[in-house]
Amino acid sequence: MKALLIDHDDSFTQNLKHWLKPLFKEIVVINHLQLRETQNWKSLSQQFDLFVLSPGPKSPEDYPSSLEMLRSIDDNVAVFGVCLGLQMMAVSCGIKVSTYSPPLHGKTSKLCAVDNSVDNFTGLAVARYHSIKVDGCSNSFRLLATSEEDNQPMWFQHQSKKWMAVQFHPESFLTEAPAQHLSFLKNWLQT
Amino acid sequence: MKPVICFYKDNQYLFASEYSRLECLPDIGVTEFLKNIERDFSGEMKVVQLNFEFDRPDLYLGQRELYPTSKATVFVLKKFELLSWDEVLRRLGSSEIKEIIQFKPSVEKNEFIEKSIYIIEQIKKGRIYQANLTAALSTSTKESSENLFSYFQKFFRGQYKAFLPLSRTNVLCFSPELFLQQENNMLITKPIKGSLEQSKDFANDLIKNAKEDAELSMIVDLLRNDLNSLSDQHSSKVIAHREKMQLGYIQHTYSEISVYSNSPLSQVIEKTFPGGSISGCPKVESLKVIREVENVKRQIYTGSMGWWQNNDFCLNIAIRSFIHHGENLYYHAGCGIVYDSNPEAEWQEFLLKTGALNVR
Repeated sequence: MKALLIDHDDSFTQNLKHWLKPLFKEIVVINHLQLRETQNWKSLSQQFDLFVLSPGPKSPEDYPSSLEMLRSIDDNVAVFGVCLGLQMMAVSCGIKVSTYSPPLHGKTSKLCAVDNSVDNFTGLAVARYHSIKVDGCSNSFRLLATSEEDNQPMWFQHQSKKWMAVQFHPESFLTEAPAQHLSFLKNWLQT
Repeated sequence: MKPVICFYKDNQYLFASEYSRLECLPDIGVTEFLKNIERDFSGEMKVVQLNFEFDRPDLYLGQRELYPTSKATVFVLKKFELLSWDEVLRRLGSSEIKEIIQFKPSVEKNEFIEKSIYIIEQIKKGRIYQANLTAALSTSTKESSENLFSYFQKFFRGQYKAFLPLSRTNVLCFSPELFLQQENNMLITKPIKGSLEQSKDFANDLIKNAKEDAELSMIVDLLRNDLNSLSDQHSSKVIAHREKMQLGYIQHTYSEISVYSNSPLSQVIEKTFPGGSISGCPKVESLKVIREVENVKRQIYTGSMGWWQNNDFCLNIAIRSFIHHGENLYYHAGCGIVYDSNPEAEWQEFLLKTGALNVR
């Protein structure tokens, strides 16, 4: 399998790449600005088994090319979003984002499963780096898990598109059971 | 010729009086400069000094310089000895200083607090998670660099000490922080974050402090990332997290991250410079924020210096350092600003990091 990892000027992108490494024969990393030239989304998506949207600073609107990608690709193209990536998916489906105060940077929360598919993740600590939150998940997304401490949406799956997203950082050294998260991603990709 | 002195291994120091000094010209990049040295002087023992503003001049536009420097300098040692610290001091041949050295910060307390608040605003907006805010202190003195070095070494217990006679300034470095050490195919880094007065309780006031925990943790993730960028095959590992470092006047927490690597220094520097612990996270956006709040270039301060031979090297983060230029003497200090930083407390930390310097 082959993945395209879209970097949003982040300092954790290489960690994400190394976390994903066991699942893929090749992971190509490109900066979000390199998407600007893309005309034929179909041909781009045919080259990869998964698109990954990296975390990053600022807000979804600051990355128009990545938002354009989400609007242009077919529903069956697999996309995995992390942090800013999740927020981009939400924005592209008409969900608003707003400031989250106090921001959580380099801190951990325990997951609390809302959907049975992630039951065995309840109680596991995950790393958080965000000062923006998504306001609800509308009808487009199915909420999989929230944070135990502050009850924020942590894990989404799109109802009709092949999209999965996490507000937490599976690639952080602060996140417990990173291999369990990876094997969940693998199973989702294969179904 | 003034000697080059640099930390080495097993409590021994490189001491060289015969060397050639190569400087990076303004119109070539530091990476290219280091590659040329790898080609021409690979096996020779070298001492290297790199300025903070590394190969991205666009990130530092509009900041003025405190003193003249090259972007990078490499000393190729023609002959060197390995000496104990006492022997280094004896050979340096210094005498007691006669002046009272009294430093003055280049920013007032109010200004430092305003800059901290500005950074916290940027964190709230989602631009960054952390940025390192620094400021210079200065004084003037007629004492020699040698006398000043012997005098200040009594107050700073840093392991990564060096005395470098650059072409236009002398650097007196007492850094406690390791940036990059590569030997036997293993590259390690030991970022320091989290500071506390010596008199306070390490376990209660530092280890249990959630703000200090997060401040170091995010830099650990950042440095894992920078080491992971060196190779697709080998992933970096966190070897130690939140260990204790005591330096007499101050105590810190530090972590250790390693990766299998035998890459040339030029390549490692290209992927990892400047160090995460003294820039911020995410790195590039934090460098932009730093330019918005710091009026002067950092130059030697928070760059790196150390020894280098073949693909083995050990470089510090150039903190706790004095720059002696003519009769001007500069010192810098700084703090990591995160969302829950208290600007008043950060000013106190800034003063704490000036240690035994007579700051007025």
